[in-house]
Amino acid sequence: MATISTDESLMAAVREGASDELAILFDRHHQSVYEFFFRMTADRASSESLVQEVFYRILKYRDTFRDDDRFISWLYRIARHAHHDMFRKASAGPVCDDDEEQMRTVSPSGTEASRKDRSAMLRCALLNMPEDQRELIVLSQYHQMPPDAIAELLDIEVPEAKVRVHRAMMELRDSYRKLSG
Amino acid sequence: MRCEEVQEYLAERLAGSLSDRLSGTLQSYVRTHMRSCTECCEELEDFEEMQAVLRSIPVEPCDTNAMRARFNLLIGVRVEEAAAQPGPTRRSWHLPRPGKSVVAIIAGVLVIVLAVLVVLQAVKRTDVATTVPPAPVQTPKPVVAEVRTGAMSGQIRTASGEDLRKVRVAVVAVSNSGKPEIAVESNSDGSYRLENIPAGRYYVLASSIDSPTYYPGSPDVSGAKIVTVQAGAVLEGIDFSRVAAASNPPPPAPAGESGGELPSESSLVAVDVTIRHESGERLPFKPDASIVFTATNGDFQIAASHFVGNLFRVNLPADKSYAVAVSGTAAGYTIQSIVDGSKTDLMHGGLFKANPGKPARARIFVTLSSN
Repeated sequence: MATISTDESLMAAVREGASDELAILFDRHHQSVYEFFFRMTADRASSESLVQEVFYRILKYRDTFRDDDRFISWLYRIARHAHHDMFRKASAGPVCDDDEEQMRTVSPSGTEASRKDRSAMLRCALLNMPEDQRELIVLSQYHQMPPDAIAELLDIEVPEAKVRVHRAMMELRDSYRKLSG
Repeated sequence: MRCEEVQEYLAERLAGSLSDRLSGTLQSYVRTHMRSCTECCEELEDFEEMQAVLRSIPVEPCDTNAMRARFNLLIGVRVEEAAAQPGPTRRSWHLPRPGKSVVAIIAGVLVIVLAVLVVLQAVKRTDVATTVPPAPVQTPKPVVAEVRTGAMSGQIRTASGEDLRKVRVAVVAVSNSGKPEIAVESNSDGSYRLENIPAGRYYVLASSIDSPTYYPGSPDVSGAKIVTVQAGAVLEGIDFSRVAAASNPPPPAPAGESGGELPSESSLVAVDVTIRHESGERLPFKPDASIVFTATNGDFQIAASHFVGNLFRVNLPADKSYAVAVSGTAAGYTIQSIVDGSKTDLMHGGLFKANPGKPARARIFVTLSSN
């Protein structure tokens, strides 16, 4: 009978030398990891390279995966580090030049147009946030990562994780309000 | 219910820790409160709208096939590495060796020869005993005719033109899920030859495990040239330039490829370069361009071809002057040159200077001419 292996059991197998099991984990997670990076960088090429980097690091650091680790938290810990390393030498995160331009050119009238406007403005506000807050928003709002997984990922307590997500959302709302006037 | 409690509810909801069932009862309390409290009501509406808009922000689709191809190459190489050492390793993702295909062809030929002999025997028998109807003989599928393969050869070089030995070269079909078809290691003079490649369209990758270079010399698939392999033909001159040496893999940041000898990493300074039109306006589109910094003493060149927005990130050795050249296209225009370096304090007399110790931002102004 076919059984579905959990991420954790597959990763444990990878750690024990069955590197080919990583292909299943790649199939399951490469899209969401890509989306995480795209929302962090707004750049497709960088995001695709970062996905490659994450799976390379999974193989390289497979011994550090412990049996009581939740795979998803461990995966995003690696993803955060990969993203952080990529931009550590740069002076700032992505700048949303394109969006400001887009905002000036879209028509302010009409529901669809103003929806696009708002979407562009919010994207801009998100991209201009500090990296740690942007991460929290992307993980909690897009990846529906529950507070206990975020807490595990950041190595903090669960109530602290909730507070941080809330604070990040307030910040985002404030800068979004500023942009939308 | 008081405002503070509603705030707490909101925090829980934003953190995604309320299950639908739990929040059902709670929500009715919240709703009761909302009817009398405009402030909380607006706040909740604000967040709900923001969450809806957040979800509507599109994600540019990724090239899953290319990502898969790179991943498979990684797995293939790693598994092969592991197989060389004792230890439990499954080999289903092992890169097929060219030798295996040769064995398959020989086996196929033998099957056909045997089949022909059987047919000839059968024909002979029917000649002798005409009363016996000829037995229907199942001719095996002509295996050889199906395997229509070609070959390719080329040379692996670094940016400075040196030959690179022992670099893995693999072809990956464009159309399938991207599993590496055939891989070889380059010879001691940097040359390689791939045999028995089924006819088709391929990406060709030279790899130093974590940073494959796509033929003819791109770090990602967007700059890859597709190579068409024809049955019975040998493609020559599939040469790679700018392949990173395996012993010294580059940092994961895709921006910035280096050529020539670089000073130590500690003296590098990160420079963010924004490309702008000479009028000072932002380019309203993402240009398809690359930027090259050439040290004025001729020591080395640093090239970058990746963007974040209109932004290049380049790690430059500090305390040197560079000539800067931008080339490429942007939405139907050709980017001509830098027209004015004086608008940034990092440009002096048309030369670019990066100061040590602090990250820098620079704007490079370009002229556009229509194609």
